[in-house]
Amino acid sequence: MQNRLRVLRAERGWSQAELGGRIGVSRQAVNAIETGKHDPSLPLAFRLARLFGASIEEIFNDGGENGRD
Amino acid sequence: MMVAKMGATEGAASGEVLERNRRRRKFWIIGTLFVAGFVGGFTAGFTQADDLLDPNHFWPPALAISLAAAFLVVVIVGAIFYGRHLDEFEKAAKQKSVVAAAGAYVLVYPVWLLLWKGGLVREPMHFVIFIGFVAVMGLAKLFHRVR
Repeated sequence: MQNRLRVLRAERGWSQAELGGRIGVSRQAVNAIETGKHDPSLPLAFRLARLFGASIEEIFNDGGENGRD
Repeated sequence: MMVAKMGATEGAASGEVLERNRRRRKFWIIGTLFVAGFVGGFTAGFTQADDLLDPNHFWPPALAISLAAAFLVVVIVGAIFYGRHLDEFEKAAKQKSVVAAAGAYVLVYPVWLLLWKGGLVREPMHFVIFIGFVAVMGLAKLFHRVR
């Protein structure tokens, strides 16, 4: 699953560890999500969405038409 | 939920500080488990050094019961405390590693047993199988975390 996590994080000047600490996961987890190796759970996706003030669809794209199915 | 919790308890603490504290707690739990395992292993090795792995040599019942009880307490309590500090990515890697180890066990043990029945290899050794299970679990976990 593609996502804009790295971009959103970079816009705020946060490291992976900084973002991980803010959402309660490890730096490795943030890296795995950013690189598409791990799809976050729905609760974690909501935490990310709240943190960045965006909707889940604005952060994650499952490859469907226009990013939505 | 976590964001709200962090905000309530740690104010504007940096995410890096929170993440470092989480890593530190995990380190202490693993360190404590390691020390406990070392003490147990050292006790067994020190008192039964001459016949440590001899299947025909039996240990004093008190030593066996003490080690078994200590093992159960340390592993169960340690797993509970450690599990509280795992995030979903780490839990997923852990689950995949257990599945990989179980898959290896399901393949290796019957093959070893059949080959032994055919007189080709020595009888399956349970402690080798256990160590193999743990080793596969560790390697699989490492693979899933760093791939």
